[in-house]
Amino acid sequence: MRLSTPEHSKRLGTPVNNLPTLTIRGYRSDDWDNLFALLTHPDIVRDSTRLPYAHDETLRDLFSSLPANLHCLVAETSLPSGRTRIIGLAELKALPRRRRHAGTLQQIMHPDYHTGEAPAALLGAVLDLADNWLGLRRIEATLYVDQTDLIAFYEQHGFQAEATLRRYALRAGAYCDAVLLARLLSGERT
Amino acid sequence: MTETLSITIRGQNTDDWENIVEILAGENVVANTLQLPYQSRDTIQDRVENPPANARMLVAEVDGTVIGLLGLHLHQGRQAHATELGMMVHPDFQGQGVGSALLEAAIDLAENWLNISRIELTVFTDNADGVALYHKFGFEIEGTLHDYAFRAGEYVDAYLMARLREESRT
Repeated sequence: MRLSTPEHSKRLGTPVNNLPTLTIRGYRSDDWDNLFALLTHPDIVRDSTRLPYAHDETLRDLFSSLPANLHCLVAETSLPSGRTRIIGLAELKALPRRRRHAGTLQQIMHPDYHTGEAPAALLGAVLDLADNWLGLRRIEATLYVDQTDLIAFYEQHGFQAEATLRRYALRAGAYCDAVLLARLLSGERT
Repeated sequence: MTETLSITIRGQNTDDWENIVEILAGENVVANTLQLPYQSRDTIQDRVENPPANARMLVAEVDGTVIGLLGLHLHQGRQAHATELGMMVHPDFQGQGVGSALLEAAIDLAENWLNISRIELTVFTDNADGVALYHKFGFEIEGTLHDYAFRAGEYVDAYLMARLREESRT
């Protein structure tokens, strides 16, 4: 797979005919149909705090006018057929007032793309936005305690577990604990 | 102070806003919460008159004056069993049982009437009185959040604390 991020020209190599290309870019309203399929994937719903049986218009309203403090990046892959598919979404929300140095991050990936370069490319882009363009100092992510692969993935990218939240949310009939991870700008953790 | 205050806990009313302006003028109230200094009276009035639909607001009254405030912010959907708590007491009335009276009422409201099994809050790690009060009411530290907020020119850490309803504890 080839990586291309046209907005920051971080293209790895040159796209070759028939090879799938990975692009990280901002969310566009014409991504909606693609994104709705991702957001309502049963595995993704399960590991989020969203409810199943979502109403499409309600979700769409949320994405059709993003608040100024919410930044949405998508990972898109081109298929051999020439069509494209949204395989990941990173949502970074900058917090207000006395927490304006901080943000909360949620990243979802289609289950077929949990491994490979796509998750790291998407996370790398959203952290670049946070560090170098928004100047955020603290990024938080909350995961269920049994998402151990994903927790390890975040730890590889500088996040550290700070708290275990008991009975964080209901998931398929059971209350689950969650881990709050945070990444402080390197060298700034004391 | 040895005299025991006669404290009444009740729901917040719109005409409490002027008393709440006075509470928010307290230097250590601003420092120990996420409130900003220099807030406009109009902003505070508007917030008291139009509380968010998912908030339950309690006040503590002494001699007809509101001197303490507690808010429960109810979560939704898969977190409808959980709520976030925030509170503040007028500096002249701290250390006299106002916080305990507010917390006792809030826990009763949350656990026995709203069927909430997780109450969470954040408290700055150097707020020893606050941490001790929450401990007394069954809140446990779940972790330390580094550089959680900005206060008087520097980043400060906070504890995430939560109280689980008795049958939910393991």
